[in-house]
Amino acid sequence: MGILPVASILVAIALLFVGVARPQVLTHGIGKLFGFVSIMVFPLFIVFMGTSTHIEHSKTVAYCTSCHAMEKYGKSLTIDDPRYLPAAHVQNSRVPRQTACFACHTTYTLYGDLHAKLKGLQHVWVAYLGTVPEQIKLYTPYNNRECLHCHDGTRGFEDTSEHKKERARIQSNELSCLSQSCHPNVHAVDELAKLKLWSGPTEDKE
Amino acid sequence: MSRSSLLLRLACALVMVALVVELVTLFWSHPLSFIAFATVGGAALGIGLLLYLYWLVWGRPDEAAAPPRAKE
Repeated sequence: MGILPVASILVAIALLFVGVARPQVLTHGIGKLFGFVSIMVFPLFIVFMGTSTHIEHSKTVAYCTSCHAMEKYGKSLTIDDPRYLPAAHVQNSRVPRQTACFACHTTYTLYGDLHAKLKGLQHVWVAYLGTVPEQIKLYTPYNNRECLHCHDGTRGFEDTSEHKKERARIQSNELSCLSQSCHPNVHAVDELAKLKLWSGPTEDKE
Repeated sequence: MSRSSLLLRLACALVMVALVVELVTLFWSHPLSFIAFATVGGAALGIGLLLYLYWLVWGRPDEAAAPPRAKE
């Protein structure tokens, strides 16, 4: 996190301290304006910045995998086999590595509608006070829109005969990109113990 | 201490609490941190601002102890 948000918060706290220690200063003349800025304007601006920072944090893989139930999904991004889609996408930087979860799950919890946001709260509740289900599943089938958002129109996608043949069904979600005959290997968390994992990019040391 | 002064002091203290919560949660990238920020921080900020607005509209500044005037 940058120095600017921290410095702003510390300055705002220092300004508010004046109001706590000497409230009478804020009741007359220019003090009233100072009070309005230090109690209302500046803190609201800082909270707006804080909200934005929190939302940016929540897009990171580290954030998603900070819950125990999601750790294995984070680990699945290191599967050393190009047939496993999430791993291949992350390892080849087809999606931003730091925000890989959000790149493919764009309407999940915080980023979805009100219902999705409430589901996100429910997930936190279940993670700490309930029982996490053995098998974690999406509420709705994976939407091809997330794949087509990047792949639609690209040569690799368009030149594939199966894609040409099934184009209408793919676009209408009638045929899922992740269906058994197409790209069935995704997170594969149950097979992690059996699969080879990638240790990350190696740096040339000369 | 007058009621008006107390109100203002409380408003400042609550907004301060909200900012402290924000400062702490910004260093912790976790869903609970966002929830703490939104609930504890949000509530403290909301109540603090409402108290301040109440003071601005209905508070009587005369009630608050006026700053000491310099002797002429």
